[in-house]
Amino acid sequence: MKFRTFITTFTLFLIVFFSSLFFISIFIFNNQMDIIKESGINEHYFISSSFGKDLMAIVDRGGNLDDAIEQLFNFYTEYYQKQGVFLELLSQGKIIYSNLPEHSDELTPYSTESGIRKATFHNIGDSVYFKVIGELPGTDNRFNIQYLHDISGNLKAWQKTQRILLLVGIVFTIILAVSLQLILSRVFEPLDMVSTASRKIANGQYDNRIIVSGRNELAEMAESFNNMAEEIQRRITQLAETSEQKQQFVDNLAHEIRTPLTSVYGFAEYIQKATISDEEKMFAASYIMSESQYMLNISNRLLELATLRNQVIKMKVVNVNSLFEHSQKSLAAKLAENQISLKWKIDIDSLYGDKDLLQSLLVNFTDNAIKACNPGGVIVWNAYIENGCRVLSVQDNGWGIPQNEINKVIDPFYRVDKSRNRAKGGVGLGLSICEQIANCHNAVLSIESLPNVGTIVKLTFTSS
Amino acid sequence: MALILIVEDEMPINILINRNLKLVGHECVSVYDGEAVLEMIQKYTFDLILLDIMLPKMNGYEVLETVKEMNIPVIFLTSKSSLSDRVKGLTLGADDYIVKPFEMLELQARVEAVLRRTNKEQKFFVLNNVRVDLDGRQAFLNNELVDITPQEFDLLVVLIRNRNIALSREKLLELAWGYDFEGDTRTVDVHITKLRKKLGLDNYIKTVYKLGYRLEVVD
Repeated sequence: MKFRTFITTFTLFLIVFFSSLFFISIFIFNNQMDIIKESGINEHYFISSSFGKDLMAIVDRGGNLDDAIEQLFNFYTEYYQKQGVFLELLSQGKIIYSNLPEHSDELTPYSTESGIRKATFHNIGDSVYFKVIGELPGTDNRFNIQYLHDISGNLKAWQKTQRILLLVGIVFTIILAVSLQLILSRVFEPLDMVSTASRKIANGQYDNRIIVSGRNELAEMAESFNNMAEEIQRRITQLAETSEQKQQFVDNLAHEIRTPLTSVYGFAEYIQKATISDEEKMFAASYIMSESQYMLNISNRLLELATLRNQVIKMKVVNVNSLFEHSQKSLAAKLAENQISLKWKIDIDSLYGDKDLLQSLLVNFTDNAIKACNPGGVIVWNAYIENGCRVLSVQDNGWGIPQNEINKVIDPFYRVDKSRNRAKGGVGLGLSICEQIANCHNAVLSIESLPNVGTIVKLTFTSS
Repeated sequence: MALILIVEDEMPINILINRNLKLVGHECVSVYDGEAVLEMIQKYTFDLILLDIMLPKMNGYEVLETVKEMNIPVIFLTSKSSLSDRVKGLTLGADDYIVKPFEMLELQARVEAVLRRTNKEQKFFVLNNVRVDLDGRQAFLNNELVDITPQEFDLLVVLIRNRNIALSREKLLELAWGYDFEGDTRTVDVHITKLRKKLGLDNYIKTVYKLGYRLEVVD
């Protein structure tokens, strides 16, 4: 692009510049020639008429015509030769007198008519002459006078001018080439930067940016390029994160399934190969069953998560009181078993969302709270308005979550206390499901916890 | 008859290992976290510790450092199978490494190998009126030396070390005489028959349907 622009501009310049130089020189030359022609014709006229008059005067006084002609011719030529003008006298086409240093004796191939003059250019020897031929007045066309003006000097001067013009032209061309190159480099600099930067981005260096300077179209382009690069970087990072999360999830899943499978396989082998009592067989079989059940739970939870991800939920008005009552019913047995009491406080009548999902979320939160509490613990459900948003919260007075683990508890398969949780049948997907439900409701999940004081899980509805 | 401490937080796996080791006559104690180990090693003198790496409260590497001072052999038990994890475990001073999931026989073999290295293995085996000197490679019936070929003795040792566990003919062949032993599974049948006859173990070396043979010893 740069090279093409350079070549095009340069060629255009050369054509225009040199053709104008050429036309100017031609014009000057023509002008000069016109002047020479005009003055030559005028001079011829003047010379021939005064020659004629002088000749007449001499003849009238009774002088010899031939002597008079020679005398006058010599007189005139002497005078005019100083101005580079030569004269020839012709009689019936034949040169009889000439002061040309190298005149040809050939017959002038034209005849002249009375009152008509002819002007031509003529090469004689090394010189070029402007030639005017015409009748010598008063001789009845017996004599012709030929006027020759040596214009070699003019021609040489013109050639010199031409050479100078050419030289100047070349100098200007070089200056133009250099400055054009400089200007183009400057103009194309942002483009070069863009192309370098995009190459780097294509090679994976997503943090590459162009330095924007000035305020023209190119700077604007550079800026939008930077915006594009930023967007690409953001998306790539996001993709990388998502892919890492997925990989982490798969790794965790593999580990989660490996552990129960190890025991299922081990107990089956135990039944198959070991010498054991029937009672022992029952014992081993019960482990196989419970571990299979555990894997089934994982599978169900994963399905639940997958379904939620693709589900568009139907939002309806949900009465908070009935939501709490229904949820309590499904938790009653577990609460009683762990000797934990449940209380609630309602400041808002209703929420907007899917009742079943909200109930599942509440039950999940409470499940976690129950697991975190010692017997005699208290769990409080609260529905209220905070900063203009509806909030649903579950608070417990259990042993809390260590500060450095709060951010991780939502991660799939993450369990604060793995062995205890697993013994209680948790697969570590509860909060991941809750988060998904929260996302479906445009709600935000937040967890605050203090070890040995308790945990509050809040669901803040940002819309409605 | 070694006293073995099993440290594993996944209860089913812990119990599984416990049962498996009991089968071949070891005594086992199960604990589920790192801190409990420190308590237990004060109370008993263990011959071997099977130690999981990912443990609540205190991880396996930390436990190992304490345990090493007391000169108790340790086998790591973990689902981490990467080379760097294995190297780390072994350079810290573990005696062996078992990657979950594992097979019963692998577990037995590794436990046995470590016990043999530390000279804690079983030297004699007594069953009814049969006594086997595992070190001296001699077997007695009613205190009388029984004439047993070296091959038969190899097979007998495998049965004793893996007692109460059914072994396929192929497995017996491999464990008793190695991979390069020339002979087929019929050889195993022949030797089993001879052992039963010579030591009067007809009621103890049982044929397990579709599996192979098992030396049954009820403790």
